[in-house]
Amino acid sequence: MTFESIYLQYRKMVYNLSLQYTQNIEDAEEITQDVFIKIYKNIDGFNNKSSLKTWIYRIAINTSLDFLKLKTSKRKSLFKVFGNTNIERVWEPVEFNHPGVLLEQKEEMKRIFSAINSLPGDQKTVIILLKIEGNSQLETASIMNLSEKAVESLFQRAKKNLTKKLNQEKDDEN
Amino acid sequence: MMKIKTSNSEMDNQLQILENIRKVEVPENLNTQLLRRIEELAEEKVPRKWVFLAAACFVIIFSLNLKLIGESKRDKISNDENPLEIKLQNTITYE
Repeated sequence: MTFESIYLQYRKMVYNLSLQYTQNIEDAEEITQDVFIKIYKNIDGFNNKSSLKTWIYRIAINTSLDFLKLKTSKRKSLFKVFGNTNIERVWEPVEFNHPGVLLEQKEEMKRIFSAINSLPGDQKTVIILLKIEGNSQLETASIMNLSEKAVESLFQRAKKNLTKKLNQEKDDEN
Repeated sequence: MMKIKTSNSEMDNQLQILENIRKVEVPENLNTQLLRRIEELAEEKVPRKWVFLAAACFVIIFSLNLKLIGESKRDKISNDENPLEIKLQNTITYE
């Protein structure tokens, strides 16, 4: 399979996945480019232990998480310069700009994504893969290199944490 | 207005909204940007045979150096230990 055909087949998947992580067009474009550069560099080293789709998924997930980590730490050091050290390591996009979200659902989505963004990387990934990308538990387990049972328990933990975050948010508003 | 707290089971319903997110097409400019980056990458890339050649040269020069250092050390030791060598003790200078 040539790089060009891989790009044509998987570009939409990679772009949409990075959008779920960043909720921002510019960042998603940057991640998508980085993912395909990595694929271009490493395509010779791809062994057929997993499917090509799973391999690309893993690259896209790791690149997205690394991107968010880097942006968060940059923001954190910027806050430190201005003397504010009391910030959480939470990713929030500068602007919620998700083209896949309907306008009438934008506020509700923004609220849920805000809670999702505060989750640890693996819990965030499980929500994205199961709920947004619509993968099955088996597919998610294969992508995350976990057992189906582990995926289920990770999802339950993510749901519990989301409930806590959203309730906390409601408490703050009341 | 008091907002009602979410329970864990209600979270399932709330998460269902995420299923409404539509898949979007990749912006056209992304293709050209990526192509440009790949071209840059290809230009930067040094051919593998040149890398091997440079590595081989380095290994040869390094081992030659090691050999020379080893030999000069050996020579020095043998010179120092030569019992037949007559050392010049006279340091008087004549004007």
